[in-house]
Amino acid sequence: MKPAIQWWSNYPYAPTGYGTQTRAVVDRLAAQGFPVSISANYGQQAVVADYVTPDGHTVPVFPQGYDGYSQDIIFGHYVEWKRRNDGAPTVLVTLFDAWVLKNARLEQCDAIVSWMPIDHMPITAEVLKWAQRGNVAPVAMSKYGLGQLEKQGVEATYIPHTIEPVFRKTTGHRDILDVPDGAFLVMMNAANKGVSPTRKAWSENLMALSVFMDKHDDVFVYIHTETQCPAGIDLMALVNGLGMDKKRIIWPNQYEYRIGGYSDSHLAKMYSRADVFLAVSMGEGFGIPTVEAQACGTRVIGSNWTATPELLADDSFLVTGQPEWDPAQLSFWFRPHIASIVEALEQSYNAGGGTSRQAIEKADEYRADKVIPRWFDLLQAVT
Amino acid sequence: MKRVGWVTHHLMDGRTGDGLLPGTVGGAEMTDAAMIAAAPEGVEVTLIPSGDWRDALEFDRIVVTGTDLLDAEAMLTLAEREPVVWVHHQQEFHPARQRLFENAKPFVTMSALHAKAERKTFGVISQWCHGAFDPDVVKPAERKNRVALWAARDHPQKGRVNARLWAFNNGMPLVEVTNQPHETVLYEMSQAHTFVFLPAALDACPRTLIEAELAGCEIVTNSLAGRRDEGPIRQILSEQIRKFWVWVG
Repeated sequence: MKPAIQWWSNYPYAPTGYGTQTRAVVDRLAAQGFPVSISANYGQQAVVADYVTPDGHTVPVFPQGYDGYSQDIIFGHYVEWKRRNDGAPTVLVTLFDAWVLKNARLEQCDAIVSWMPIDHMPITAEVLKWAQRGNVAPVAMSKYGLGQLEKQGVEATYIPHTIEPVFRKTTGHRDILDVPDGAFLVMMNAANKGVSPTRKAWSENLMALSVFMDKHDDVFVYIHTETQCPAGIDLMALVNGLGMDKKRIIWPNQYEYRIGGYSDSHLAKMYSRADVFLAVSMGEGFGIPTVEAQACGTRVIGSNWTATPELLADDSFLVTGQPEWDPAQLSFWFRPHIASIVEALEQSYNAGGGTSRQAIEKADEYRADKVIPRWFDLLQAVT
Repeated sequence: MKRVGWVTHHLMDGRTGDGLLPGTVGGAEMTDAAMIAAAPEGVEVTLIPSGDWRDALEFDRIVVTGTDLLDAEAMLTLAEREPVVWVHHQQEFHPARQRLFENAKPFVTMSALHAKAERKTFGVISQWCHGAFDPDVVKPAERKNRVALWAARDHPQKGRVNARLWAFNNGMPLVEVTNQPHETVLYEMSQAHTFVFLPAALDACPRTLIEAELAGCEIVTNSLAGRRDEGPIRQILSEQIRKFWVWVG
């Protein structure tokens, strides 16, 4: 008998990494006959609504709480889902940073499977403490994360994030952006969230781009993000501060971006058009966009830190940096070297863009239909 | 005849109300019962429930093995008699408990790991004793089944989910035994290839790990489980009984 599953993460249509992964796994769990519901910590308020999967299965979505991380209501939703399943063994799956899970009553859950990002080096004390709990089965989303858990003697397993078939190389979209035909296009796709630190290393990335663009007047940049966000930084101010050529920087329509108006197929066309994808950051639990970009045949520039190296094909580019103490999480982030980002941009420019077969093959390791079936056995095993 | 008053709440007749099913007992209860059963000739042991601790003051020697249900007055009064204090699980700090441990002759924990933890909490160095075991209580089956076994109380700290995850990672079926008679647990140990115990909190010295070793199981555990001293198992186990009763005197 399959256990009941309550999936705690972002609303499945939220345009976030957590949202896309929720949709990817929950769709398939429902198709396999698991009684599954979603406990949304972002993207669904006030009422229990229904999410209907592509196969037509109805998945209840329980609303987020008043607490910033829905800790006030997480256990209540779990108990309610268990009740609706006649008290059957019920697994709470968490897909979010583990350190926010503070509700003491979670100890009463039959089993918790925590799909956890580990984006510092070493694993932070709070995340480790959660992973060590007696009713928690940690699932690392990167081999790096698995290694960190195993190093601490924690029994864990590994299931990476995945991408859907829509992410593949497409052609005939050179005019998807208003850039000259022979332009070298650098693309970024990163959430503008975080002020101190800015995990996506905006200042380092944009300063490197500024230097690169000064040298090459055929370089254009598309940055798929919000230019200004209360939870992030003012990117327009940063661009102005760096004196960047604003005519060669393209942003998405901010309203469309805000309402999740850019589909995956549109993103796939963008990735396919780009000559290189710039994804240097201070730390990654996984890094879905780097896999999406590679699936579309585009090489990636990423940080040589935490999860990123294992995701990149051999012909992509890793940048150097140095550890930087995160006083909030009590572990180390990575401060990338701007010169190293510039060097990587130059290398990608000299490689001339084009389609990388190695990138496509690397991304194929993370295809949803190949990876997600691991969840079916795992969820049955823990109950 | 040396008369020993044994103050404890680990009572085999189910008086602890420790959430156990009738007919089953926990490790602490078995540990006390087994050591008392191994008392040498000339030693008469009387069990004294924690609530009746004052009765122990009449005895030649006092052994205290459960402090959870002793109030401060009890611990301070018993401390004056310099009893053997043998704790079976990690203790919560209390000044009266610290006094009891400081005065104990000796203060005894369950394993090297347990001793380290109590020293950190109370600043008191202890001896340790794993308990009394009959090394012939269980033997490996002639042919083991290729299964992993988890056997413990159904408490989150006992790592049931961890064991399931280990079995999943290693492609082994997991047999789970909880709240069953000791004989049932021993039987399953004799049959199982691997014994998995991955506690989520410090477990002073699980009897099950020693019994699983006697049953010929491969042991999978972690750094939170207290282990027996290194050396030939029969020799180590016989030493536990000998040294304990030397301490009692």
